Amino acid sequence: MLLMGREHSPKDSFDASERGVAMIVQEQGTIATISAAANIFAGRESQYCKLGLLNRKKLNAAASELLNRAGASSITPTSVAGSLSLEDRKLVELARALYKTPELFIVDETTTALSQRGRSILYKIIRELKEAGKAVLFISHDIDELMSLCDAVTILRDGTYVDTLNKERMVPHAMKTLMVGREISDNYYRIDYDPCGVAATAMIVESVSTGALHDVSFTLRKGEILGIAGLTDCGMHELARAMFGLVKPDQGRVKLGDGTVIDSPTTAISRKIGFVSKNRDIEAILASASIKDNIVLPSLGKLQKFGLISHRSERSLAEEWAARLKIKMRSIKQACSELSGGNKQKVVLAKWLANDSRIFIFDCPTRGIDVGVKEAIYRIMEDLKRDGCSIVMVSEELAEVIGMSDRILTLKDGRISSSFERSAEITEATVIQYMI
Amino acid sequence: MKHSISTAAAIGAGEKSGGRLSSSDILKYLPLAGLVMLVVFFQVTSGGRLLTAQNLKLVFVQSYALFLAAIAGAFVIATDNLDFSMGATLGFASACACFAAMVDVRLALPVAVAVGLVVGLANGVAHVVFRLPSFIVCLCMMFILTAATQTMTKGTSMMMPVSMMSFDNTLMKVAVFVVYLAFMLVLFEYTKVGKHLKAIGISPEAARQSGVDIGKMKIIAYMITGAAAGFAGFFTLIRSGAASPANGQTMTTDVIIAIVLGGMSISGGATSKISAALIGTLVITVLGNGMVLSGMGGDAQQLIKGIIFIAVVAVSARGNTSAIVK
Repeated sequence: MLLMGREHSPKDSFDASERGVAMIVQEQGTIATISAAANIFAGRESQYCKLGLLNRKKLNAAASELLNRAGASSITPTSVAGSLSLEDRKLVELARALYKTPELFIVDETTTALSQRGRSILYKIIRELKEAGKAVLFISHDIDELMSLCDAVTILRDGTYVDTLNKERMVPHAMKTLMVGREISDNYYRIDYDPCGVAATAMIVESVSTGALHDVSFTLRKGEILGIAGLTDCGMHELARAMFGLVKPDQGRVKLGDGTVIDSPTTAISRKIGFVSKNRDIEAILASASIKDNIVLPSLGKLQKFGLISHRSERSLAEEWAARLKIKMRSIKQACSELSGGNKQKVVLAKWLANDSRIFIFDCPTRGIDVGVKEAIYRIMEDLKRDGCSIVMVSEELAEVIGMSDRILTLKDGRISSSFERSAEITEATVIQYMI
Repeated sequence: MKHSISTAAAIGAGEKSGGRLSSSDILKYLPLAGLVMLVVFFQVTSGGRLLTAQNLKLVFVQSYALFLAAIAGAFVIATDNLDFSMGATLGFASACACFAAMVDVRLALPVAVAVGLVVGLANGVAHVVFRLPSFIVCLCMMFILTAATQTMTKGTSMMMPVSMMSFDNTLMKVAVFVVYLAFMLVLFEYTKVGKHLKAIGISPEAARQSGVDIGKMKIIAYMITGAAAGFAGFFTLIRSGAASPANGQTMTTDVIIAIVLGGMSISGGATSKISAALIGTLVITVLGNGMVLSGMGGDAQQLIKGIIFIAVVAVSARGNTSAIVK
């Protein structure tokens, strides 16, 4: 990396900021338990020190000036960061970033954490930096924002460079197409376009509101693959968690066709619902436990006789499903942590299949998985559908949502923004316009 | 209803690897090897007095309460928690049993176990329902129970009814121990309780998402250690003949040390097993007994215990960064 013609290899983010590269991010970047002023000068306190003692008065005065410059004069430098609103904490970060006027200012998806007021402050600063001859790298998936702020846009997809458009070539439609890519040529998705024939209800989501979700309602049918598409923070992952009872909705409820309310994972599992978490290594598998222990865990209730579980019954259930899913392993006693991502995901599927699940909630089921296992998962989904099981597939990969679903719901800012029935005509471009 | 998964894409079958001895296999047998070495060492230094019928009987009787408590302790440690109140519960339960025995000697055992169960329930509820850190809960429980025991015994020893002496029978103790061990082993290895507790110790979130009722299971674990501490309290009472604040004082740390010496991780999880409690208790007992027999003096015992403990934790932790006190 070169910065202003010189080699740029910062040791850490603090080193980078000393060299003129400042950054604000989407996540929280302040320390909650210390004051706003202390956050701004964290690591740079020495200039306000005399004989090893900190002159707080001078520090706070300097912080106050920086906050003014950042357009956040309403924040008192002495207030503890944790007591500020999320937006004000972002502005504290902004003040910190502006301490040394940066040569390169990186804004990584920060606007999603800001209200209109915060956004206009940030936009103003970006324009000021530009006029002062400094560079700004603005990372966002909000087309409108990019259109109004940027002079040129570089598009990346799946970690690879796609194209750079200058101001004249920046057309929203063209940008969206480049972001999503053309039709994927691989035909490992479903090839049929038969509509879901069954009308019976498997699950009902009834005006659920929680966190990012606002009044979401829909019905999942038996034998249906329901795809849910949207941007990461549109609330779709929360929706998946709510459907498995991991999140209690503030309003509304999730219930089965027979009226049973799903209020905890324990209830969900006893009613034959399985959940594949997006965060596989931490939430879906017990990494240091064996493949066998992972597969049988939800099924222990089924295996027990007079309260006792024989090791033989555990082994045979685990052997059966490891073999049927062709899990690549030395033996079922091998620790799950030693498996590849794809085989770990097979263990997760095996554990729900072994428990005779009828409803599957998949949150990004093919994330970080090689093409081979990906295809295996798609075939399993088809088999489950044929058996009359229902699948909800939340995914950030539009191609698989379009390729596998009987019906697609798009979510935008926590609300359902459109619904598509399966058809050969649906393209990523048609779906994405309801997501952005 | 079975699924008809048939067409899962073919992925080459896994290659079988031979039975090499991995480092985890070595760690698995290290505690047992250590115990054998310790026995051989003290058998030699004590001039053959370690392995005599008379001494073995003494060792068994001396470490009886620790065996009972450590086996139960494995249930809580499996969940990556510790029960720091076990020793105090033992002392309190034995004082309560002593009082009960003054009314009717037959009440002593049920009262001791019931007291332990209630203490465990209180620990579990405070931790799970009121979301207090388990370490704080158990520490406070320890202070409360120690104070209660001191008040009940007026700070000295309180003699139990003489008729209870007949309970202190080695053959009966052996029988009780065998039944107790079998019961706990089945509970730990062949029931949902044991398997769920282990799953919690490995990853609470993954366990929750696999249908483990974390709160309920943690309360059950504390009730198991509580009841076992009460049970051990009864046997401590009939052996010493008196309830005193000194009963069970070193039990809390001894249980933890025994379990770790036995090869179980202090953060529970996959390595959890009852045999760790047995082997570890034997190591501690042989160490203490062997040093006395070999004329090394009791004073150095705590020192040696401390050194061995820290060495074992260092070996077994191996990059495990989980905090011990929660």
